[in-house]
Amino acid sequence: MWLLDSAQVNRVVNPAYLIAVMIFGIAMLLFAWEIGNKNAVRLYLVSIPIWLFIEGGSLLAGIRVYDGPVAFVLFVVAFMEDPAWVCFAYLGAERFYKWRWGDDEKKHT
Amino acid sequence: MMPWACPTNIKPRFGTDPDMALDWLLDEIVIRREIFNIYYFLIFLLSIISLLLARKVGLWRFSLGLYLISAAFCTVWETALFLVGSRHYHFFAPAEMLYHGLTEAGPGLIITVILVWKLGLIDLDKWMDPGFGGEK
Repeated sequence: MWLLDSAQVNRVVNPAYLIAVMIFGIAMLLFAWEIGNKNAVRLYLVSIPIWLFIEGGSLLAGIRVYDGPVAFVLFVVAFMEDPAWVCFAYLGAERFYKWRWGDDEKKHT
Repeated sequence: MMPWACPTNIKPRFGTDPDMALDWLLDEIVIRREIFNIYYFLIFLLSIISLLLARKVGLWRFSLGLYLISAAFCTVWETALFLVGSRHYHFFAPAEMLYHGLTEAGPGLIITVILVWKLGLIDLDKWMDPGFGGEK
């Protein structure tokens, strides 16, 4: 059945890319901390165990395969990359809401 | 090899040739996902479910922002990877890339944010839709 045909996706990277991702992740967390956005900081931190579970579980299940230093890649992906984009998207969503609907339009009826 | 183990074929390069000292930075690492076509249908369903959930709990507007920003971020990231030749798809690459970017990040993010909010770890009352204030 074609639905069960392979749709394998590869990403060919290197340690330099992963280090750049680490810098992005740390910068994102520091930025959220610096502007005092507790929700963004907490989301970053909560994302770590969530993505550790998703990535780790996928590795054990064989859905994810890392051809390289597995522990390092897992660390960067679960502790830096995914939490960073979660944090970034949250901050962006706040901006989007303010831009589209404004702070003062909030109505509790 | 167990996932927490490091491959044994990586050799230390420091202290050999100074010109090669930083070569390890460009060692190839492949991150592969073994999925099937049905994954794309499931991710589409998850998108619908996440948006319905957002509507139900009164975070429709905010979730639209989460979806749009994460989709834009993911699409830009994926496009950059694809254009430099780092991302390899299976069949029709541009379509897969676009679908991947537009659908993968948003649903998971919305569900995660709602879950974390319901657990009381973050406060989203300020961002609730009109008419839903104070409900949790």
